[in-house]
Amino acid sequence: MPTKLLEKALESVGGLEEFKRKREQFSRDLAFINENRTKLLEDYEGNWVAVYESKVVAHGRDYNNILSKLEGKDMPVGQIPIRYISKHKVFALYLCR
Amino acid sequence: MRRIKGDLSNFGILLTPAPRVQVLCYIPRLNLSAEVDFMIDTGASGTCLNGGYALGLQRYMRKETLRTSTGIGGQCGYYTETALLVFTDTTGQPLDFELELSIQRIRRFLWIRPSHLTLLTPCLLGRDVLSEWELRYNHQKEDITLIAP
Repeated sequence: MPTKLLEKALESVGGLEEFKRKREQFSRDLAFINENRTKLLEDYEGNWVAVYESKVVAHGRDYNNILSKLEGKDMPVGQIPIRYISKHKVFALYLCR
Repeated sequence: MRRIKGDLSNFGILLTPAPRVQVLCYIPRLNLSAEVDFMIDTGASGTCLNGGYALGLQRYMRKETLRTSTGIGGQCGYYTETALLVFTDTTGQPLDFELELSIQRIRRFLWIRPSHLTLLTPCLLGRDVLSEWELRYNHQKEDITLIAP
């Protein structure tokens, strides 16, 4: 049985079926970015790109502007992967607390 | 037992791909949710939202929950919110985990934007979750599995 909090979480995205659909969509959009990395590098090097339904729906150098553009288009910001496109890679260590 | 499959990702920037799991992150106080891809990090004591994911939440954060955290890269402020993480198990059913989520404080100084590196910091799934579940990680076989009792 789902807990009350889980029910609320699922409601926030439109229910269980929408949750599943949006999760698959998000995965596909992430995969799109990875699979089209070379092309995206040609067009958007040094930019943030937001991809929704396998299309670049916003891009730019300022992350906040991307969020504003998505909100302006009434797009589901929380369901859209936004990635920085750069040919540079880093060796990184992340720790928290 | 229920299983959650992860994968390997370079999060757009890492030289060496890292284990990743996709999660719906829900903050009940704000009734906000977002799909988040978390790096699975046994070095992080707590689960945290960083970078771009944290940036969009700054306006909602409460000063009284702010505390300082110390990591390998230095000190950073984190806000705290009760949150629910919703995973998907291998049967396609949701599996939730309630926790105190840390949210990176991202400061803005007048017109100066946060740096790309600040915004690129991945979200971390830490030991508050991992200590309750089992993690199987085989990099060569790209097998990343979380097992919940």
